[in-house]
Amino acid sequence: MKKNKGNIFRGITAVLASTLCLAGYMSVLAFEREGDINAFLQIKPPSQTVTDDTNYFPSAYDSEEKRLAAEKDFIERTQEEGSVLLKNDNHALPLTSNERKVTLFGRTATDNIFRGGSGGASNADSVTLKAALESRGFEINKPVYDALAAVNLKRGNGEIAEAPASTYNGLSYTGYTDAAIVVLGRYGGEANDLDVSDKYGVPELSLHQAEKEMLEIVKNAGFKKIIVLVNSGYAMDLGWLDDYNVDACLYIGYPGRYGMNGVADLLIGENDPSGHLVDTFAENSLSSPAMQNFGDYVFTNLQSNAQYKKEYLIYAEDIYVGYKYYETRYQDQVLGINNATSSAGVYNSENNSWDYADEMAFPFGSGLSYADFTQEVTDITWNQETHEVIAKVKVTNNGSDYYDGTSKSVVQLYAQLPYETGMASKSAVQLIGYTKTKPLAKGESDEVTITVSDYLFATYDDNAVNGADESKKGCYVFDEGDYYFAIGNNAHDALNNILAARDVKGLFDEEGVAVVGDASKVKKENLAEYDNTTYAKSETGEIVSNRFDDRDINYFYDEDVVTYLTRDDWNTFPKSYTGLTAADGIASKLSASTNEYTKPSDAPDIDKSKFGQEQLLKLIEFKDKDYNDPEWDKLISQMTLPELYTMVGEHMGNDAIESVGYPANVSNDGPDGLIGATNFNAEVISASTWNKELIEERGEMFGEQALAISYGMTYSPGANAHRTPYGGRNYEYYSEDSIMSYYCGWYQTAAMREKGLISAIKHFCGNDQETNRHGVATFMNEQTYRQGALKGFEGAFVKGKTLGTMTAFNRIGCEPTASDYETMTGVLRNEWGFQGINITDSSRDATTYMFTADCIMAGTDFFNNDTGRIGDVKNYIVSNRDGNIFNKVREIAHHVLYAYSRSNVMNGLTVDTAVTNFVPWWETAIYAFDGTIASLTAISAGAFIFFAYIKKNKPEEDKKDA
Amino acid sequence: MLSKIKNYFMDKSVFYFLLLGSGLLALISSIVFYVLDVTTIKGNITFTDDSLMTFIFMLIGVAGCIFAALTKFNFAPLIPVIFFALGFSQNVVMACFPAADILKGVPFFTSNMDIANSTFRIFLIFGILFFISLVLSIIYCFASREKKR
Repeated sequence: MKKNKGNIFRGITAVLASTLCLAGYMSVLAFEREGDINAFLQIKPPSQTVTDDTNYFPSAYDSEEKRLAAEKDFIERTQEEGSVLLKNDNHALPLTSNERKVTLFGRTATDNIFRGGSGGASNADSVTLKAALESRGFEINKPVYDALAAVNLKRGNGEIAEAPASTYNGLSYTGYTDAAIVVLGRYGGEANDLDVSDKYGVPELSLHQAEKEMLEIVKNAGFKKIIVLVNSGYAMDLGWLDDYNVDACLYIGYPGRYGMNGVADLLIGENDPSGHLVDTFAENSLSSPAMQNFGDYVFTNLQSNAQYKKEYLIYAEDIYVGYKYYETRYQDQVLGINNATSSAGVYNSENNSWDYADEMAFPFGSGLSYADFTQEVTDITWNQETHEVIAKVKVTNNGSDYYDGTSKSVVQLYAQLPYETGMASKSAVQLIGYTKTKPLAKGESDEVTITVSDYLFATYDDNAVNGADESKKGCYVFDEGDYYFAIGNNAHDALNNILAARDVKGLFDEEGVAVVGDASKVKKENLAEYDNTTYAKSETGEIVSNRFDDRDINYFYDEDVVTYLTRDDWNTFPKSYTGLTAADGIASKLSASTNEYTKPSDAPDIDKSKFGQEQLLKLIEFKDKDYNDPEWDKLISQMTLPELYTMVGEHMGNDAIESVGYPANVSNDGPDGLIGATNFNAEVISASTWNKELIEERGEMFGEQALAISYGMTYSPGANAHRTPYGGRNYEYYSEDSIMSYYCGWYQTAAMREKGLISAIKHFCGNDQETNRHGVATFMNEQTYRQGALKGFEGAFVKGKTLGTMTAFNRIGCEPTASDYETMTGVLRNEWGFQGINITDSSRDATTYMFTADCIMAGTDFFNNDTGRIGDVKNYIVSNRDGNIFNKVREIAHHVLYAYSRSNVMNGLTVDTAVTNFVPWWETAIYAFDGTIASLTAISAGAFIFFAYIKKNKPEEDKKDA
Repeated sequence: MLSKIKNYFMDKSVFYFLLLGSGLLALISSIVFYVLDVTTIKGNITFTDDSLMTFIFMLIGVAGCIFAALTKFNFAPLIPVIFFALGFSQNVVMACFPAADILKGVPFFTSNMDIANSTFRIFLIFGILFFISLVLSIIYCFASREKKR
């Protein structure tokens, strides 16, 4: 049969053209996601050769083996100090040396949760609870374990993945009844809040039917001891422990790669748990005022608008997040004022009358020890001249008959501020400082000192006259009156001590048992005069006054649409603000489809003397130069225009800038450990240690990871608030308390900077839930914003001097955070003096509301994983010759070069080092493949044309000639 | 009329009917795909939803099939191939986002893992259907429209 060559080449052309299409599409995707691919393939720019002279940020370890061993030790210690013993009846824990035959219950016992569901280190090679127990001599009931392991369920998205009670049918516990160890798990993560009503129709943090049935089996099976481990990054409802005769309960969070070893050591008394809660564990996780407005809210009149432009969230709880609500209302309950016992906010109380004891399971700061400690206040002084509170506390370990080792004790310092009806909001008790003792043996004492700046308990009053500039409204103030400073075993205990000092009667604990409080643990100080001047300016000299009036939703309406919770009347307990109609001002802001910024008619041209100048300076010469040194201007002027505008398009790292000797570098992600490295304990467990030295060590460990695997910047730690227990990423944020976050962020980022790691603390800010995180308009009043969301980050910037921050996807009010000038420049740079890099979260996925020019004008430096923004900036500078944007880009260069000059990226550089860019191997492979396919397609198409059209007609012409 | 139609198709090769089949498959699958995209995917993903482009490419490919079926231009069979290839490639790129979420176990590009799974399934199933259309149209390129005599 004669073959039709035209058809053959047409077919080949079709195959090749199809391949070319696919290759082309995939190539574009690959280049767009260059950073992700490099991260996935662990491709990094070639590193410089580091000599003793150029090892500016040396590792503390002389071998990788030692570093990894130190990480393991650190994770185990953090777990031991961060696990919180919530219940320990009759000294059930530690288990005696004879109690090693145990049965594990709960599917989480076989499917431990080591980390939450977000970017960062992997779970690989994590030590399981089973392995940790067995390595310590435990014998585990294998048939039960195997039966649980065989249950195939996947947790997440409303599935707690607990094994049905029928799993235990026919199984025997004989020989393994020393203890039942029940492991309960809850899991969430990025874009994955926990469900208020999950697939079982139950709040995800509540006890589920399968768990109840399992606990009933355990209760009736004749175990000597019942121990519950809570493997959750979230505050679960635990008010049921007594119902199932649980002897001991240990909150273990997410333990990271080696944390289960620490858990096992705690169970056998090798160490004493010394963690305390950094969140309130209420009887009902839905009962807080913040929970009333959590989740999915959409403006009714914006329903049909484009994605990310219609969702809202109201922080109607005011400042009363977590314990600040429960404890303040408790005080009013015992004082019998302000409708504290009304039905508003009742979730667990009897007779529809709010009662603290019914609503509370474990107050903020709770945590038991195997040892018995006493804490005595030696002295507490508020020096109103130096603006410091200094507390000295003597801690004594009275020992225990059941535990021989050393123990650490946490000293928690709280304050109560004077309050009268109508004043700015104040919690009845607020954490201001804390410390942890050294390990104390039985009978040993330690005197600890806590020094606190009084700035940490100043109240931001939106209505105050600013003492530094009386034309301005809003200021941090101290109201005149009595201030109480107290220590306590938790927030509630401290409040009871304060109330005892105030001679208030009728006190009770979280179980409703009458207590009298301990006035000796309290110091009263009086402030004679109202103070609106001390903190009217920030340390940079910037006036701190109202900037955020329009972040309060009421600003946009003639009449208030939202009533904020006030302690003056607990009937203001928030309702759920569903179905709001966006006011015109809101609608126009949210529906914006392009930059608000337009080039003003008087905008300067780009200054030709400010780029492409002679290359006389190298970045390495600036590693010790002050930020304000005029030489920076000369260095930046060496950069070419393309170098300037290309810089904004971060791609999980940055290209080299050859004109200034800035080397190519890569960035990494993960508040609980870097991608490609060891998974640490969840951040919430680190915070639960209440040990600043351990937090500092966490920062050092991150720094060491970065040195070992060559990363200059990490998108971590996380410092958003646990506004509710249901926030999907609570595990990788520190606490519900902004002061706790303030301290943790401070100590961790300072240590990271010391190691030369740029810590882009995230997600700055007000991003306290995952639902609708893209573009959700988050409304709150200024006091709530400043004392809550902002304060939680402030320590990292002002004290830790972090050199980076990653902004959030949400909006503050109607302003996308990345283009919110008041937050990103007004507060961050002007009030707090931030000199580092402000990077967006992955902005390629937010182009519909996070606009390039607006972000740059507001203070954004980098667009994360988004080289697409380079073209925008190029247009502004090259095509529009917009000197405003050009000058901003030069500022960006200043931030970037300054931050990296203080980073481990400098290691190995000298003035003689010539930096160059590099092309990853896969890009070369793509170019080669695409080129080959394109060439073959062209050849094949040519052959098709030849045979189908030219050759086909030739015989006819030949005939004619003949 | 019927006999005219019968006569028209009588001398057509099996490959000709494969081409018509690919067009029909592409038409139905792309319509169903786009309806599913609008109703279940849109609003649940953070990456740019270019499924409209997939839909348009596939529809142009269908038109290309008709053109190739009705005309005798030698190049005509390449038209549906190119547009089906564009539609299919666009679909593959879109599928990469939920696939990445599933691979990493973190729903970064989708609202949650359920949506990641369901979105990926949609892209996968319709990707297979689009691929079949593409393959059928490629096969036609190698063949003649009329039966061999």
